[in-house]
Amino acid sequence: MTKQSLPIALQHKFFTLILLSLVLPMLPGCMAAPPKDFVFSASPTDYSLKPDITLKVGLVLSDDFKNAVWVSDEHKIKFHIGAVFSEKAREVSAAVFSKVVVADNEQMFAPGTINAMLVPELVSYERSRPVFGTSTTIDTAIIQWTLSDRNASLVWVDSIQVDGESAVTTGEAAKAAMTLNPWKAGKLAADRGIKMIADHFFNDSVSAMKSSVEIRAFAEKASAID
Amino acid sequence: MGGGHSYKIVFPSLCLVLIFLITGCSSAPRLPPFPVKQAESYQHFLAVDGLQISVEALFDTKQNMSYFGTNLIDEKILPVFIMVNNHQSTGSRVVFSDKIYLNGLNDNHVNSNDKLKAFGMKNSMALSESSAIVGGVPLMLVALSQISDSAEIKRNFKSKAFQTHTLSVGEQCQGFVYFRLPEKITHNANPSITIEVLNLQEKTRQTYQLPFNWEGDNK
Repeated sequence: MTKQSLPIALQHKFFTLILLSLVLPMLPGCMAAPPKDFVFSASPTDYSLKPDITLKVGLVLSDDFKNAVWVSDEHKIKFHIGAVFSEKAREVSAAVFSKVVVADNEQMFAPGTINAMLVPELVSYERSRPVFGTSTTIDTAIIQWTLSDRNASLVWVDSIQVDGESAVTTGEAAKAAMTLNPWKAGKLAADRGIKMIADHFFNDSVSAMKSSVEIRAFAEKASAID
Repeated sequence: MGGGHSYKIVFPSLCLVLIFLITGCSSAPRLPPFPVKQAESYQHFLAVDGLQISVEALFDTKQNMSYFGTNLIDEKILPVFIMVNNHQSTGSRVVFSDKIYLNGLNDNHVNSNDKLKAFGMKNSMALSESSAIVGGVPLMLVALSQISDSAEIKRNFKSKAFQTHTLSVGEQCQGFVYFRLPEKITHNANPSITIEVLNLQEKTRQTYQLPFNWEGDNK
């Protein structure tokens, strides 16, 4: 199709932009008609430091955590985010503790194999909803970490709150938006926001655990007993 | 480009720009954080066992609008700012988000996870549905704006909630705990905020109580 064969309005860049801005609200998160499932996967966070807390830890990844889903209030979009947080939880524990065993629940650890149990829990996940697809979307996740000894006595607990920002106006998402492929654009933008959240979750969690005097004191005591 | 074409493009463009302006141009603005001040400068303050506990309830409509984007009191929800500082206690303390109570009223704790499931959404959703029937672009955008505001209010509400933390000596944590208000508060109600704190070393729980003054229209 030549430029001349386009309607006059579409030959004008400004008008095309206005039209796009009207179409972009139809991107996921705004007014999608059919229910849509978005599955996310984690990419490794760049981290080079070795674990420096000598402790045998059992990481408990419950089904609730592994299968965590965020559903939009209108129930038109589902974000399957559990896999991302589960993978990050594995990375976090491997970056902090000398030995990590992963299980679905506390009962699955054989006696003597671990000194402590580490349980992540997704407390909340929320997502803002811009009026126009051109605006920035903010995702906020709150994850609680609980470390307890073999007798389930609390050693340390902390809550990590992280934000991720995304928009369909930049990167690959923008290209998809320009081809009027709203689902692809929305997914690509959300990928970026969730990657940001996952990286913040990793960094903040590692930092919180490594700087915890309670965890270090417990690890010292456990090492002495071992 | 001829004058006719120019008119055909500029006029609808101006209309659309006007709609953008009416609906607030973009996403709902991010609401500001509640200011963290010196522990002693909040409405209620308690210093005991090396802990500093500060409490401030937000009855004020203007403050509610500023920090929550809506007046929570109208929804019968009282936001109470809590700050706990492990100033110079003998060891680490744990403050649990679900171990903070407003005494003098029954079962008033708003659970952090289902806090605002329905709150703030019903009006915007109704508008959204009606606009879909009418099909008018301005109404659709106004509806989207309302949904956007509602989503941001909900996200902000949860992100400001008090979360469970372990406090080493010298650390502090803060956030809002939300309490459901009864329809009417009796004049002889003598409420107080109770915070349960775990001493990690001794594995004992200590309860701290702060007398609480009712303010605003609920009295």
